[in-house]
Amino acid sequence: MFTQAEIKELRKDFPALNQVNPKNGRPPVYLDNSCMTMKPSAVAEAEWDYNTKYPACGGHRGSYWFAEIVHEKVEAARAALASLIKAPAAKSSEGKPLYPIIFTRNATEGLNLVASTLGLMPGETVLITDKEHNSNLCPWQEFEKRGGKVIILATKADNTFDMPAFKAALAKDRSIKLVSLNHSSNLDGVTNPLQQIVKAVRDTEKKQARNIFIAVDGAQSLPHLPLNLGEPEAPGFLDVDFFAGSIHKMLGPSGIGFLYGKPELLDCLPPYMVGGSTIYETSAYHRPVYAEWPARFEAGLQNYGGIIGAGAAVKYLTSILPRIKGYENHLNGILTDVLKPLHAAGKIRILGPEDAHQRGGVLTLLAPERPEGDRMRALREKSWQHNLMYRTGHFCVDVWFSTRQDKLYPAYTPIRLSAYFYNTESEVETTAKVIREIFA
Amino acid sequence: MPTKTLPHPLTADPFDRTKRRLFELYRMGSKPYHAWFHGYAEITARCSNNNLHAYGLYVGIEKGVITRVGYTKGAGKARNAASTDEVHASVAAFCGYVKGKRIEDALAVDMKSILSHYGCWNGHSPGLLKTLERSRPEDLVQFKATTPDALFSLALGGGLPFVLLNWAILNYTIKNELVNIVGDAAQPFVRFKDVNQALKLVNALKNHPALGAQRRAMEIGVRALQFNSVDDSSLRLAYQRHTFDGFAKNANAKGFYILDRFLLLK
Repeated sequence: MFTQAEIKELRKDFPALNQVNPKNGRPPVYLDNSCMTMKPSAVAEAEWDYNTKYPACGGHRGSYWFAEIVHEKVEAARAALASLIKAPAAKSSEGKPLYPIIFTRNATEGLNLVASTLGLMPGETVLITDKEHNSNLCPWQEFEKRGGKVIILATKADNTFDMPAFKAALAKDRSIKLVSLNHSSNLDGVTNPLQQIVKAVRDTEKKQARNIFIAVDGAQSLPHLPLNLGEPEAPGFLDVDFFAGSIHKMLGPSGIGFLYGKPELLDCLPPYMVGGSTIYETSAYHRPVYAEWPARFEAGLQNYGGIIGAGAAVKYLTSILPRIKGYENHLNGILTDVLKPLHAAGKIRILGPEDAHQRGGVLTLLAPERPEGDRMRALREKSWQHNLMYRTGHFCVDVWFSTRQDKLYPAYTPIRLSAYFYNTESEVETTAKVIREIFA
Repeated sequence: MPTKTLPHPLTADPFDRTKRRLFELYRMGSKPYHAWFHGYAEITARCSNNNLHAYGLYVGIEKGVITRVGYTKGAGKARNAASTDEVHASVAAFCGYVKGKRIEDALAVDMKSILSHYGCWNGHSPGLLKTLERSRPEDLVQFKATTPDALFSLALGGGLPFVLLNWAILNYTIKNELVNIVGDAAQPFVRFKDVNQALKLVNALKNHPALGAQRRAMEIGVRALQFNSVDDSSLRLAYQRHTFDGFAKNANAKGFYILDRFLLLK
């Protein structure tokens, strides 16, 4: 939890929040944090430093002044990220710590990497939920085209995870080889009980004497929750095999994400993209022998500026992460309190559990108008007047919308308000009141 | 003091030439080299003086007996790797020693057996080995002047071929299981007909002391065999990585003391 005075101080680090719109003289009210967060000055400065002071290539391509700085900073960013999620360090063949973090463009690429390299075969099944982002749907739909099967587990009526149905599916279908699901949903902010899910999977493995892999889309959870992916003795340990995240949702530059994998699994995983950096040796007479990870999965020149910026973002986030969830819940409580009467009266529908504490910083509502009519137009005008920035649409959760919303609420427009730690109480109050004014 | 020495690296038949010849034959439609050589292992190590040592070891096995054996010093990028005569001589010596032996006898190799094979073992050897074990890198130059070449070479470099041989046999074990499941040993690249074949291989390797310990990782490695050969697969890199420490310890226990002065690169 933060006080408003602390938030005021923190906001000074975010230049984008300290400007006014020249058209109306008002500051921004940014509530699309599930998509992209603002960046603190430290991140921009780290990227600026890369581009102006040592804009060379990393990955030990060169052993000169600039290249060494880039290499050190990239590895420092990798170490910082590993530390944030408590990922275990392996030992490189040269005896140095090796952090099981693969830099990707985003969580989407991380999940595609898993889908492409895990070696799933026709006849096997991937289990996902109906609240997956398309990033965690389309790779498996492609797998379906190759003879695989995808089970889409429906969430409960309040959009929370259906544990009994999940356990039943695991017990019934021995072809399930991978459980791939979101940790927190970008649809409604609900966080899945990942520890219990993992336990159910591991118990099934033991009972059925076979391996089941677990991949997690963590794009929406890591920016808000401290996680433990590598310390079994510490509280909250999540024994997952793969965990994908997006740095642009956690204060960092866009175009950078990561994939965590258990070190022993990364050892065996074949390369995803191949080319420069991924090679240990190749020749006209040999098939290629690939390098050890992370190089094996980071083909070609990387976005070094972005990765170094990611390091700065992680450093910033690390200091405040334990306090974020409580404050976001508090903001969501304010939003929910203002809009709940409209929900009760059937004028809007709030998605997910009524209790704001179960929805992180996200409040998604279905506004009773589709296609856009007078009220949605009025909302848009009001939003421009107050510089309110939020998201409408399907948020790339097309499975849920095609199976649930279209049947239950066909004439509604979804609106998602997603707060982060730099939002103020007055910002969310203003937003909620604008919505209430229009739809009451 | 023994007067015989190990086969000198320059006079030994390095596998490079053989492999190139077989490669050419393969291109002309003849049997590929993997039809002769069933077990393969490769190591790159950085010596304490920062030189790179890269070796591949190949064994051909028929009815449990190692009938063919060869090695290659360096390949591709590692072709320019430096080498010490001692390591090179050790690899050559191992190849000479294991040829014609049953697998279990070859794996039981220790300093005494290999030196005896070349007629280099005598009463002085145990004491010299103990001295060598206690020596510091800077003592080696002086020590070399007073130690028989064969003993010195094997003590210094014997750990590498020992590990390579163990890996090559692991490699052969996997291929053997593969042939039982998929059939056709002459096929260079694995083609699982369906997932059941892959899972059969996982089950077959599950109880192997070295491979079974990798559990879930081993399953990923097996799946990664599809359309690859065992030799160029991530499975090989992974089991080499995971078993190196254990085999290195065994090598030390068998008298090949100075392996820990090398760092494995992959």
